[in-house]
Amino acid sequence: MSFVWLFNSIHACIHAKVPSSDQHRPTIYPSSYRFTEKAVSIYCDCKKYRQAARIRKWIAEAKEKSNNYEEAIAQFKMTTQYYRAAKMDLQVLECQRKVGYLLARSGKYDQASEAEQEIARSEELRHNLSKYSAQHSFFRAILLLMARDNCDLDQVKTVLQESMQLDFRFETSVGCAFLNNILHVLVELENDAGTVHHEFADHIFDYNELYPFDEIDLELLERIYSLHFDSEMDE
Amino acid sequence: MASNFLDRAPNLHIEEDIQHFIKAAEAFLIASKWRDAALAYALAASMYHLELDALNEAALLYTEAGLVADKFDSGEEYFSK
Repeated sequence: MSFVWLFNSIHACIHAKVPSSDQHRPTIYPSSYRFTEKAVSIYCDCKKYRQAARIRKWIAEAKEKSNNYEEAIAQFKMTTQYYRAAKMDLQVLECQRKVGYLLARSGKYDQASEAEQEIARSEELRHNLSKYSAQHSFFRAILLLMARDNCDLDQVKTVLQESMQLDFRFETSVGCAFLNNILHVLVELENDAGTVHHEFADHIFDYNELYPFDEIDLELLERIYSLHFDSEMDE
Repeated sequence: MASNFLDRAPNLHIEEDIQHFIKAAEAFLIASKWRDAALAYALAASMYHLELDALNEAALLYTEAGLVADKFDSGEEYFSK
């Protein structure tokens, strides 16, 4: 019963959170883009990377609003470079997270997983204040690995263990326990064990009670379910 | 002070032109003529950039032009170039 309710609510959440406003807005207008590009190039010539990054970020957000994820990702990557040149670590992290989020939204799970791992390893664990957020990036990266089309459970297991070694906070977190449980269920499913449907739903339900999933997590879990369980049910 | 004035003297008429362009842009903004306002800002910016080599002012005005140009209605025609 809980299983059906959970997946119905997941489905409702995903479709409720599709941005409805600005759907018909074409994109940032060409003239506006041309002027702001000129401003960015002038700021870069003057080595004022902070101002250049702010304008580039505005362009990227406009692209994202118009649901043009490909170009938004490219713009956010350039913004990251500018912020890095201006030595603004917090903004670098913010833009990298945005790139990871957009890659996940556009269905590029491989690249999104790599981006999340890169964020955790090279940015979050390096700084005292952001190291507590690394566990969330590792969690998302491993969920993304599980949601790939050609999901290799051995690789997921390896990445999970590497992440646990890198960050002891992740190792002792509820998220890590949840991922271990899900991985165990998927391995059991491959070995044709029974009653795994119920276990999968129970783990999701328990974790959701403690830390509610966001829209991307729910989308990934729905995809993991459809990849692994639907094929079993067809057989 | 006097030397500074003398240094700037050859460019004073250009600065005056730029100020007029900016005033025109502000007037277009009040009249909600976004396209004309953006063009006026862009002209002022290009004059700062090419004539006076004042990069900071040019970048600020180009940014302003970009922000104003983004206010076009979706039904309005874009710039031809």
